[in-house]
Amino acid sequence: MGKKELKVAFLLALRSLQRGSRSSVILTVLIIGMCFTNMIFLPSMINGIGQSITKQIVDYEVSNVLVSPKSGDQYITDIGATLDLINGMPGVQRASPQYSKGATFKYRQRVLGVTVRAITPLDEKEVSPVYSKMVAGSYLGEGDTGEVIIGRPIAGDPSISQEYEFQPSLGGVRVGDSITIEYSNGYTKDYRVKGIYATGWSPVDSGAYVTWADMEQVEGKTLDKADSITVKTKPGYSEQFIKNELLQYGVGVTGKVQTTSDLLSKSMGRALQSFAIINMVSLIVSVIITTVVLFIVITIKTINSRKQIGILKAIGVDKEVIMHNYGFQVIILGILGIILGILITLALATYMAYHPIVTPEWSATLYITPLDLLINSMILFIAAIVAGYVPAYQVSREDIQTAMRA
Amino acid sequence: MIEISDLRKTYHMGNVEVKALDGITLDIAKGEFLGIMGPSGSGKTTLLHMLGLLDLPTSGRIVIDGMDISRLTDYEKTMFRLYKLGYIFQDYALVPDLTVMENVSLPAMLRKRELSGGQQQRVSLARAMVNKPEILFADEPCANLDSENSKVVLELFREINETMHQTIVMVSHEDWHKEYFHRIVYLRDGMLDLARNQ
Repeated sequence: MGKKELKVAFLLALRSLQRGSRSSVILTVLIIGMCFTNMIFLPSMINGIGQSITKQIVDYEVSNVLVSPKSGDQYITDIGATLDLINGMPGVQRASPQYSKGATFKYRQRVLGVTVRAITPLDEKEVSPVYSKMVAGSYLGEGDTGEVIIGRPIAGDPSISQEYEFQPSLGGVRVGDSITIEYSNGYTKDYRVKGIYATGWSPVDSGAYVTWADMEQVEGKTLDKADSITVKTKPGYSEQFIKNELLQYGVGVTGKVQTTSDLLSKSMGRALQSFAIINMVSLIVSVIITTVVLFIVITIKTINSRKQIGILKAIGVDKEVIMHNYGFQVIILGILGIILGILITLALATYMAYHPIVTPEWSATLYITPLDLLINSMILFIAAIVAGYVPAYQVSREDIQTAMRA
Repeated sequence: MIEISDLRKTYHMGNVEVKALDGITLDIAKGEFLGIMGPSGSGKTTLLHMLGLLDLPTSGRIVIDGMDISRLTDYEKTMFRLYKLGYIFQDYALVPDLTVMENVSLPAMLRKRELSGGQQQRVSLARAMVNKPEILFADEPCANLDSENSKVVLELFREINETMHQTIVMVSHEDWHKEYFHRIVYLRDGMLDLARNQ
């Protein structure tokens, strides 16, 4: 098969597409484009959900490196010295301790169980963006006492009656209202609601924050222990570097040191594995649909062109040229369909970036990388070639007389 | 050129056996203009299909240009059709997706060798004639051709002139071309050479 034969095959393919049914070409390109979109849409959305959850875990739960109690221990002790040590290390932007305590919130007739997290606001602002998610009032100040910030779902909506609430709330608390907090140790105190926040991350939105100083009053002593310490790295420093550094400086003696990746591989590992399986199933189904559709399209095309194929063979056009003619047609249709599919996908991704699908647990955008587009394009391209060449191979081998009588 | 020996073609239509060709033996010489005539169903098209390598005989032998075509592979038959044979069908059998020019040039596009000067000039003539012009101008069309190819091209000009009454104005400096012209006009120093024109 020489250059000349391929040139003729390409000319035949081009002319067939140019002078054949315009609507058939448009429809085929549209089908391939939609198949491409179908291939990439669901996996990208699942990846988007995964990315969104991962970002929220990093932002609101673990930051870059998490120091948690060693197995068997309930708390990290000697927190003052540990924080001084961590904050003094190169590459550490800030370390922020958290101490959680179960409590019952009371507001008018409503009673609600809530976990209260004690934080040092200045440190916390450096590791978590909760301060930027205030929807009413303001964030906690370092020396605040008797003040609490609560998640929007806890505050509730006064216009929704209790029986219709999606999740139990205090029924419409506003900034400045007073709520009573009864801690699990029996300590009870009235707090003024300083602010209401909405992060979109359910475990945080279903909780409340008070200052470290306030929690010391609850415990009745200086609080030199924490549930966890979240560590934010400076730009340019890897999480693994900070983890190694913390272990080297002996933080590993008082607590367990894990990077975000360590934690995500455990907590999200199974979820990501499930996502990967769903993605794979979706991809296989899409590829099968695309292959079958293209197979049908090209088969119909070849059946309708049998007489023409007979003529071409009769005037001395080799069957390889005839086969490549249909091969080129499917390659051209495939490329146009893939380009259309990429445009549709990018348009959807742009739209969803501004209008994500939001649920209480996650918000979904399309997470698409150039590699995703490339891999899916290649898969679809190969599927298109297989789907095009099989009927083309069959018809090109047909007897001249049979073909010409069609 | 073509030797046909005891050529038979039998079709089966259900249980009925139809003998389309029943032992044809025939020789066709090179340069011969042979007509095949006969009533409908007498096997004319079937014979032409066998000779054109479009169908296989049930038995018998066809030798074209010394080549027993039954020995050719499928690919060799295709190449034989491309290089040695031309075929005009009852129903035109043009490729509808291709232009007139592409229909004409498709076999030439597939041929491995380049067009000779004579062939190129004939293509050029075909291009000039395709819109049936009132006047055909030709500027030394045989300047780059040998005498044999020149003769082929000039014969073509003569045929077009005679059959289509085509007006042709042709420039030439070869004396032997004169026999093709009805009238000759000589020029000298940018003027008509009145002495010679008389």
